[in-house]
Amino acid sequence: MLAFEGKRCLHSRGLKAALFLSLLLALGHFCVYCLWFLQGKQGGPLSAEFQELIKQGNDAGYIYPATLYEGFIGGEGYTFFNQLYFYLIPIIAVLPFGASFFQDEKSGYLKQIYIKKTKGAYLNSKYLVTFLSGGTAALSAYVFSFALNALYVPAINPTQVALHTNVIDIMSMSEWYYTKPYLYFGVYGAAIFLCGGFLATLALCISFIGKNTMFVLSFPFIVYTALDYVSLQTDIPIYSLRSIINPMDGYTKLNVPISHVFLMLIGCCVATTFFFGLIGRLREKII
Amino acid sequence: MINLKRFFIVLFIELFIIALMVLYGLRVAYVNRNNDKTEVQYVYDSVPAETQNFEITIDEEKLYDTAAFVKKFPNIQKCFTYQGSIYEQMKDTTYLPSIKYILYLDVTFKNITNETQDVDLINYSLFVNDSYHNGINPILLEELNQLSGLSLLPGHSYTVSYAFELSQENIDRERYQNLLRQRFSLMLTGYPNIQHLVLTHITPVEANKDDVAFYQELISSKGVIQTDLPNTKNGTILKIGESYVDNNITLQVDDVSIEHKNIPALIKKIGLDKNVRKGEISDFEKEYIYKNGNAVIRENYYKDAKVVVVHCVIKNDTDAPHSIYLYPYLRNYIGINAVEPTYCHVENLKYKKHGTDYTLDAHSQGSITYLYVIGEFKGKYAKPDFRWDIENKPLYLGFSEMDPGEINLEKEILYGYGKFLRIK
Repeated sequence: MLAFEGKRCLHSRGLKAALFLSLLLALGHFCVYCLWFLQGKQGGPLSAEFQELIKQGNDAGYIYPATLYEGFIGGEGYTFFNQLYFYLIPIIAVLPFGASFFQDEKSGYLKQIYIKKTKGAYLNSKYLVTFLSGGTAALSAYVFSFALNALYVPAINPTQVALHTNVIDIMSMSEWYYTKPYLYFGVYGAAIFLCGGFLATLALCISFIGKNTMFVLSFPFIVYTALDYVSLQTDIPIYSLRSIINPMDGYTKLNVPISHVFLMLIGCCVATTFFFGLIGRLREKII
Repeated sequence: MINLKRFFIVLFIELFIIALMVLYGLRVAYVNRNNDKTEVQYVYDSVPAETQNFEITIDEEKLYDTAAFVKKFPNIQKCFTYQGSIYEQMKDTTYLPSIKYILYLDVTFKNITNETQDVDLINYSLFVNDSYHNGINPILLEELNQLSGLSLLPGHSYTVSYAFELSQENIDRERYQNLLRQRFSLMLTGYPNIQHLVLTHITPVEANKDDVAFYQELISSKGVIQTDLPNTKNGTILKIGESYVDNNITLQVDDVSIEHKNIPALIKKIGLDKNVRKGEISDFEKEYIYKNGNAVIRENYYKDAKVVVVHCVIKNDTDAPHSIYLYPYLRNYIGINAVEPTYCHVENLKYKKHGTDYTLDAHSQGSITYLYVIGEFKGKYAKPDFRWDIENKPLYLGFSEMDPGEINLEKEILYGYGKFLRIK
């Protein structure tokens, strides 16, 4: 059943659409950051100026080349692409397989499945494939951008004194950011994956009461944005999924340890697992 | 046949993908070819460190409790006084108390080249491990050293005192509680030869109870400086003849003159050769001031410099001795262009080494004569707002410790910062 659902997901138009959207984001960021902002030069538009300063024997510490870890969609704050990407994550995550349960039920396909396979096997595999596809889709722009921008920007460690970033010592994992940035962004990559998986499975959960595909696909986005709004109004950053999974959101890094981020995301995933599994097994049809 | 065709198509696609991956790898390797230039070289403080122009030695490394630091260097008390500060204006009662430690360094620079070199004093950042760095507070630098710029002749050396404020708001809590176990380093040079001087002999200096009590009052929102005379407030432009008041001491300007020739004779005339800091005037100052009999400082636009001599009378009419920080900048008619005093000559005022506070005994009077060397910018820097035109336009003394930002003294536009006294 798992292999079957996996195959369905891989061949789905939703997955292709999600990957295409991610690629567009990565390409857009590449063009704006590498070609326009850095002008294709290692070090960026300042390179000519600071090359001159270096020739004069100037030891100004703030001179430092652009680094890939501050130059891909997950790590930089110069362009709007970072914010755009994190706003679009709930849409990208649900596209591959988020509405598949709803469509199976609506088309009557579900009845046929339940004749041949147990409910448990179907629901488990559906959940797992949706979770994995949602996480992968959410992470894809992050990975594409990193890989693409590596063609122009060197992977050197960031430095505090260059003032390219807003990561400071009191923020969660700041030491890793400056010494092992691949680990720092790897951890956030895992958080983005979990978040994408959760959002995709949230679409599964709402499928029980959804009336059309558009509602099912947009529900995670509504929840995601609503949590953002609640966080803003209550000034409690951990409610904003968008902020806690963004490596460059300074405010949440100050107030939310990374362990809390993972606890919250895992809690959300467990909640959707429980909800989907229980309701899926018990219900005949709610509406 | 079809199978063969399909085989070759698949083979071609696979080879193409492999070629793309190889090209990708080569390109990434090419982009990363200079990564070694960003590696940090660590040198240790047990031996002098060398940069392109200087040999740098650390003579003293102390981690002070801030209360102990303020006690040791009373002239910097104003930097840690809440009342009248920018923190009071912003109603920020947390930042000053958060600075619990000060790292104090005595750094000796020696010019190892054959040419006079400028020391970029504020270029040396402090690092705590890799994730915290702190630049130099220019106000503390000026107050500890009585200078804001430094040039060294070949072979000459000079010791500069640095004080880095370490606030618990900016450093991870666990690391802050174990500061002495962290790796402190001073960044000597930047990219592409990044060199950090690791400080391995830092000794702690703790404050005693009295120091702590005094300091707590200093930084509290209630303030501590009790004055019989109200201090001149921030955001004030005093008129000609009015008095500047600080800490019960009044300053009045009683003479302003403009000279433009024969500086050595001038210095003798005003007694500058009897300056209390005699013997501390370094060779570079003599060269710059006495060259060709004119005041020639730095680039050519000072060739036609004029000298403004400001004679001030300082009075303490109270029953106790008081100290006053006096390092006024001369500002042009707009207030944007400013020069620091090149020399000052004091009479009847006590002056401490490493201090810029002058102490006046009870019911006594003293004087300070400031000498400012100014020149008009030329070329692309000759903007109207930066002109002095000292023969025709007003001049001001600026007593602010913070940069006043955008101001226009001619139109009396001040954004709450700075204290200015018109002298002409």
